[in-house]
Amino acid sequence: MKKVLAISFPLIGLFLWTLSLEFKQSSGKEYQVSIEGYDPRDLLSGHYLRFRLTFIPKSECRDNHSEQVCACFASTKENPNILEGIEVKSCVSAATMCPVFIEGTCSAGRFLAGIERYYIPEALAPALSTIPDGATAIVGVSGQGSAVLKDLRVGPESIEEYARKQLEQR
Amino acid sequence: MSSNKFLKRWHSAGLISAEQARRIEEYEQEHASASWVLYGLTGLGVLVVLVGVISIIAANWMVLADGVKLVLYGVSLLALAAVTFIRLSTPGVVREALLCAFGLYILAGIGLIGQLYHLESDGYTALFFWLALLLPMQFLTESRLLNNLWFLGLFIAVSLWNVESFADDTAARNVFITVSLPYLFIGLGYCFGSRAEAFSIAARIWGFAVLLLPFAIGGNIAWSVGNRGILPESWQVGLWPLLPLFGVLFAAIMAQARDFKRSTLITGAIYTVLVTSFLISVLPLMLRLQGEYSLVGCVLFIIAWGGAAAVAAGMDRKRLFDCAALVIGIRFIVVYFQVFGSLAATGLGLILSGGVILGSAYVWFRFRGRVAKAFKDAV
Repeated sequence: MKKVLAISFPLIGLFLWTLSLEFKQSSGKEYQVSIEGYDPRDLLSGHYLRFRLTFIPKSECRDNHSEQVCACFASTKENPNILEGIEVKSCVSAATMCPVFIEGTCSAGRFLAGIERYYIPEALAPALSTIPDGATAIVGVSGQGSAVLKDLRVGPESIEEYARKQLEQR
Repeated sequence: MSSNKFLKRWHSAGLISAEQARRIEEYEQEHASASWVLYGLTGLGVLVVLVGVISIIAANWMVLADGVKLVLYGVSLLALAAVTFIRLSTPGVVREALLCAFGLYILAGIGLIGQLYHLESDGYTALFFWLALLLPMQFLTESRLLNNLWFLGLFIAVSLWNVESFADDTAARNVFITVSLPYLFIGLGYCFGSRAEAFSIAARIWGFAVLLLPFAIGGNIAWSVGNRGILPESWQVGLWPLLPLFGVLFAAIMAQARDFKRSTLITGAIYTVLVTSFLISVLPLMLRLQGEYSLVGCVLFIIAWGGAAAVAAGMDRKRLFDCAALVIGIRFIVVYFQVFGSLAATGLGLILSGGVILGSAYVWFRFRGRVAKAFKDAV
């Protein structure tokens, strides 16, 4: 029994974790948000892009990175799927006052939702050294404010399609 | 010294006969355990094979859809789990290597799933998750290969956590949690002594290694920094220094509890209450009189040298033990003069201070042997 438990525990743990991630990604409403790239000189950098969500003005985000805050959003009038930030407030008040909100932290004046990394295939890396101008993130947002990154878009196409075209043109 | 040399020495001293020496030698050869070199090479072999497998998959990785990658990983993990489970009842190098490979494959899976779902990672969260998943397996091993890997992972995770989350308002918390960890290892080591021997030994080795190497250096730096008072004003030390002291107490109680007796338990409980009351009453006074900076340095310093004294006693290095104890004693006297320095300005105060030093020397002389024995038993 001890042996069965010891071997199956990591399997069950991994399975449940994957299931919860899959559930998070498939549930919740999908929104498009504007992003900008930056180069953090990450020592552990692999083939991924790092970016920041740009919808919250810097003045809204005080530096309190250990404390959870919520960014309050509203959809734009032209397109209900595009989010625009309004302000950062406590998650308790965001839950009652905001149409859409995302949990995160404030660091160096920026709102971080914990979704600011997108892994790209190694072969596409030469075309994507930085985030292209006008790129947007497709983000799934649950009613409880947790966000998951689903895709990055450059105009109408996914960032991987965009990178492939860029490489073909070279 | 090898067992052959011992046998020769005992035979020449007339303690055992030639026949007995021969039989002991035969028995030892038959029951020789695999050396750490063999286990080390096995670990290296497992790592190389895993890297090879990963390279083959990585070469074709781009053409696979995310779902396929997940399924491939899941199927291969299940297969490895099944093989490991089947081999569990057969002790030996293969079993230990499989356990190790299974553990590393779980870590690879966490990385893969993190990539597929584009998870932002600070590094240490993933490592802590891996350590939690592997915890039950720690009690199955016999060679300490997986145990050492687990403690190495814990060491790296805690270091990453310290680097990532270190800020003025969290500095004291980070420092004192880190300082407490080796004592927690040692306590856990004794706690699981007979039930999980490999885990228990690995816990103690890592606990003492961390105490001796980084802490001896860190303790000295902390003393120096603490006395100069150059720590940031925003450090909120509070009662965090209590944590490592309770860690020491936990390790000591667990070490004593190996030979469980009702009287030992009662004595332990009385000591715990006394030490706790003393610490709770003295710490606020020291904080008020001396400030937080010196206290940080002082606590870290004494804890580090206490660890050194324990290891010296355990290894029968009496002079090293005396030296560590002397350094701690001097630090206590320095603390005394730092806190009650104004007393030395009067004749009565000097007599009192001299009395404290003499009293300390007497207590040390009286109990030195017992302390050394307790440390030795603990190690």
